[in-house]
Amino acid sequence: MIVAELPQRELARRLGGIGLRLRTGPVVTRIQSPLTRIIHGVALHYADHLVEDSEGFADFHVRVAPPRSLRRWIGSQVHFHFDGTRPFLPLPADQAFAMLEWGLNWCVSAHCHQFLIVHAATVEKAGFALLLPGDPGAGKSTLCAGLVSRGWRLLSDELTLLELATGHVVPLPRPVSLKNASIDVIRGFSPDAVLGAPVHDTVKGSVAHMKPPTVSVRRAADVARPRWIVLPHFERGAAAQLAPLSKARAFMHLADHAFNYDVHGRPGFELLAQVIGGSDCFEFHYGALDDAVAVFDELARRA
Amino acid sequence: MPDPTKTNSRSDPPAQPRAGPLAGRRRLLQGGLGVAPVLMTLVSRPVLAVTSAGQCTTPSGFVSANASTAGRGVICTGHTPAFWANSQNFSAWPAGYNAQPPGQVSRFNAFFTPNINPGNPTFVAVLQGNAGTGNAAKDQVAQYVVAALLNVGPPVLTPVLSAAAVKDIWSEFATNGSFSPSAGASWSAAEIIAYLQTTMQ
Amino acid sequence: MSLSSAPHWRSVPVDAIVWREWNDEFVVRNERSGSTHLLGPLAGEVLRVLLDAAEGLSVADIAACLDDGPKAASDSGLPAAIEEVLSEFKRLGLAESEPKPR
Repeated sequence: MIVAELPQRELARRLGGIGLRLRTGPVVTRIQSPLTRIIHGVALHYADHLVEDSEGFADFHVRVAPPRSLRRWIGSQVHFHFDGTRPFLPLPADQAFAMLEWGLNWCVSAHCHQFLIVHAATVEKAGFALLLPGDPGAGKSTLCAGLVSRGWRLLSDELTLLELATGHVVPLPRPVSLKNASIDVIRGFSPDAVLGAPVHDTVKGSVAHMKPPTVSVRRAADVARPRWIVLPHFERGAAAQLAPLSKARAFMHLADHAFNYDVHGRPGFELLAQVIGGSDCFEFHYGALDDAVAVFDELARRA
Repeated sequence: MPDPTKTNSRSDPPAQPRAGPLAGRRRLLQGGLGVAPVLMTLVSRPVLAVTSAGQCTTPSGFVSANASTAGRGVICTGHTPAFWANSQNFSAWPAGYNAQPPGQVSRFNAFFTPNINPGNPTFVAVLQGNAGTGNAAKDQVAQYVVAALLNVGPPVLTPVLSAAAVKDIWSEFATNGSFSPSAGASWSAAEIIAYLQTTMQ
Repeated sequence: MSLSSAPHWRSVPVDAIVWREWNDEFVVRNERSGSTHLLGPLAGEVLRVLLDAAEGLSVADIAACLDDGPKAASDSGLPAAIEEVLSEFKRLGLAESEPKPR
């Protein structure tokens, strides 16, 4: 059963009580929250995601809720709870859904050491994965949302999971987070995209989430082989240009952007070497999404 | 899995046959001399603990917001008030701060405003929980901000906090009764202390 | 072959190093330090020579391994460049020197 098949009342009941066991790729999370923002956020962004059995196993147990004290009426904050602890500082209540998303990212990046996890957006076409590692502001989520709106499959917006034994990307299809100007860019680029209401004044400015396309969620079990590693650089007015990046430098970039490279030691090195060895590596400058999509579609055609 | 005896092979597969020694030397001389030998180093980071212990954040952000370190987070190795208050550790106090003579003994009011008056307690007294503000929660916040200031050093044990940020925390809290790390958020004494504790081991 | 008083260099043991080379650039992970390095062409070749060697090598030995021409040892740029590489390696824990009478 998927979330969309649960009546809203039942969804609210589970979230407010025993918890909703939500599957996102290889991860099952039990989510609890009494908050309307969370109920609506889950109903919107996770509509196509599988709901696991209430008695079943969950990898993580999380809860987003206001403090249990008088403070709940003063200052309106929410906490993220993980297995009974509160690993983060509170945020304003209107950021509850963003907090859930950041918290779910943290759960995976801090614990899922069965994978090598790279801080990158990844999309797929023709069976091949395009990895977009990058620092904040480089435009990787905007590029990801744009490509995904033009026929590329979403594998992940933020956390790219690499299978140690094979080097394949294991999908983790979850909402794409958009910031500031990117929100309107994607609204204009893809009028059919499902976007939640933006929240403002977060650490990252204004933030909104784009629901992952249904096909991306349904194909969460289909892994993909890394084929292109592209470091994006958004610059207003820039012409779209791919420039070759040395494999050794691309390797260092991936290692630097891997959450748990040090956890994996030598096998982590070998895995990244394998991924780099089989991929073409580029730096990419662009100013318009249409140009970017054309460039990557051409890469896919030539693959 | 790759054969471990082949781990030190060249590229996989080599794009062209390996160049002979003379050609190799020319390549080295053209491309190698004058270039820094080691172009980049990624330093090993300690394995992050499952809980927030050992990970610390700036007052206004999550670990995951500090994405340039790819969620490895910033490792803070600051000391607790008890550590700094322990006479066995006085020799570890950073330059510019003195727990005891010789040298001018560090007092709260020389570094923090609003001041604690009367009394102007020494750092050691404050670290021991005896700031004497008349309010237990305030004494405790004072205790932790002094420890946090010593952690800024140098040596910098807590990269996420500057001396100015530590002083701001006290200044705002002592004036308003709370500290606001970002728009819309507000911390009580307990939350300030909980945050500062994440920067200490 | 080597001067008896010249320092001899060894890399970290072979089993502590894993590396790859693509187009004359090398990525190297040192298990002892846990660090990963990007090396230029000369540094990478010097490391490879050290890893292949059964015993410590002097700068002159290394220069000779990198080139089989008779001018190797007196080439104006190469020994100094190798010294610089070795000094960096020492700083990073990739190699160490021992004054070793032969």
